[in-house]
Amino acid sequence: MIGPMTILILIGLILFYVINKISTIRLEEINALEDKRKSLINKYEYMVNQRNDLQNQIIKKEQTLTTLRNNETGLKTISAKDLDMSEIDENEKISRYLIQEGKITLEQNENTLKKMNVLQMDYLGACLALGYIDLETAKKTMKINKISIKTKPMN
Amino acid sequence: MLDANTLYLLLIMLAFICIAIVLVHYHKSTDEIQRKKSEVSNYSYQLQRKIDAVENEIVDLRLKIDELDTEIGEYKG
Repeated sequence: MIGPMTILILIGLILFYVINKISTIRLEEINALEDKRKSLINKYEYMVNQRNDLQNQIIKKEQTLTTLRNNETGLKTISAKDLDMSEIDENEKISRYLIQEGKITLEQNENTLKKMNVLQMDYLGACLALGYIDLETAKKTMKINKISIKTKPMN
Repeated sequence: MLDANTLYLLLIMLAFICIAIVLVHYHKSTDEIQRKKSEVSNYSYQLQRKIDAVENEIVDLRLKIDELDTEIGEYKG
């Protein structure tokens, strides 16, 4: 005859086993779902990186193409001043200079002109803010084109 | 000392309590799994849409690169 103590121990063991089994299954399921989520995130990050790489490649290629076009047409200008563009405003001078030097593309130029009013910046500032040129290029452009630094009041 | 009948009755009650504990634990676990499943499913759906959009962008960018390569080749050639 099984004694009451044995039954008590048996019930305890069964309880422990069942609860442990349920917890293990739950943990496995949750881990599998987490893995699935992580693999999707990794895939997305990989795609975004790939897209950024391609965008960088396009920017470089457009700059190369612009340089090649300029070389083809024989237009090589070191300074906007050399082109006698005194009648053109400063922004246009800078944009022409940057395009001719292959620092920015035509598309980037158009984008900068559009964003200038939104950003409330001059042309160089907008280019810098949009990340099309670096500080070094901006300084060099200012120096070559003899641009005075203007500050616009912020609203 | 309790007599045998009372003792077994108590044991049976204990067994029922244990069964109740197991059921509660099971329901709690399945609820948690369901919540997690729906969360991951929603997130996956949104992310998949983003991935599709980025894939399309990548295809467009590749086409653009090919065009640029062709143009550059024409200038160089």
